[in-house]
Amino acid sequence: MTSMMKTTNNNPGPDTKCDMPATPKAACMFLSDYAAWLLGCGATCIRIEKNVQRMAEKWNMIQEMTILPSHIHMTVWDKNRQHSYSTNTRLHAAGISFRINSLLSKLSWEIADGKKGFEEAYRSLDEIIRTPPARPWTVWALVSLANMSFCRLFGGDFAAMLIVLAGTAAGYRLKQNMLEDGRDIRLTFFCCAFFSAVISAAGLVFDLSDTPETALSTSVLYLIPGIPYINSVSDLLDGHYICSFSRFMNAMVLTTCLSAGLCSALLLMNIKWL
Amino acid sequence: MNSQTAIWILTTGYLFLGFIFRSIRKMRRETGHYKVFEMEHEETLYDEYDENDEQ
Repeated sequence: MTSMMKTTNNNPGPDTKCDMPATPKAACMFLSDYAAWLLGCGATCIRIEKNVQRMAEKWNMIQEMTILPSHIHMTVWDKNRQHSYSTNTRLHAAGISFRINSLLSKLSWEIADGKKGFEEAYRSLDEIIRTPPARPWTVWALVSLANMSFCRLFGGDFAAMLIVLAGTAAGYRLKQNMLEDGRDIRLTFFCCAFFSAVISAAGLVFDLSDTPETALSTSVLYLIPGIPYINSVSDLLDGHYICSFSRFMNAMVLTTCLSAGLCSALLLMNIKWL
Repeated sequence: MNSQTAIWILTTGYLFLGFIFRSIRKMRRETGHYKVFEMEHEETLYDEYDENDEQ
């Protein structure tokens, strides 16, 4: 009879679920793949470090990891520092996903608490990375409503809110289509900002709203890359300056593209913004 | 209708036409309309092979 030990110490006990990786290579391959998925789905560096450290400690391994903007360099030693294995893994660009992020973190706790062994962890990782993305139409509707709410927060009237709803719905649908077709993300942001701003200029063109400037200015807010900015600050505070700078520059490039789209729309519609 | 209105209508119309054409293209790809055209080509190829065998 086996017993489950809810523990995070390095002695697995007689539990059949606590099978360990046989070699540092096996542990390294798993941990580097895990870290690459976590980096790809938008986790901060501190989260990646803590999760990987937790699992390595459970398996009596010593891990040294370098997190780069697009790669994970992982070295795993056995407990006695006799054997090691190193690998360099490119991040898996899965798109920002809170669901995958949470499931991967949960997996690391399950391993640390002895609820899952090494073999089962591999199977769980395979299942987690096959998590389907959120339903596109649901996200589309919620993003449109959220941006409409932003317009209200900034003092827009009801007509401005409806204009922003229409502009965001069209712009976000365009974003989904262009990304599905594999278009460059920067071009996508430019086009979405451009068309959203043009549609939201209806308040000025047709004199539909008392606050047309609010509609115009809030029409592109749904494109602001908030998570990369926040993650950049988090990485800065934890001393991961390379990742922090990389995330910040990515976010800045996207913000520049959406600003260019907005300005192009204002130029086309001959709207004086100064 | 002034130029601003015309530009707005043209730009918005272009976007929605793009959505419609993309949907049609996606629907054709999923329902296999292109495959019917390819099947006709395959039959022609087999006919050529049959003629060679007879000779």
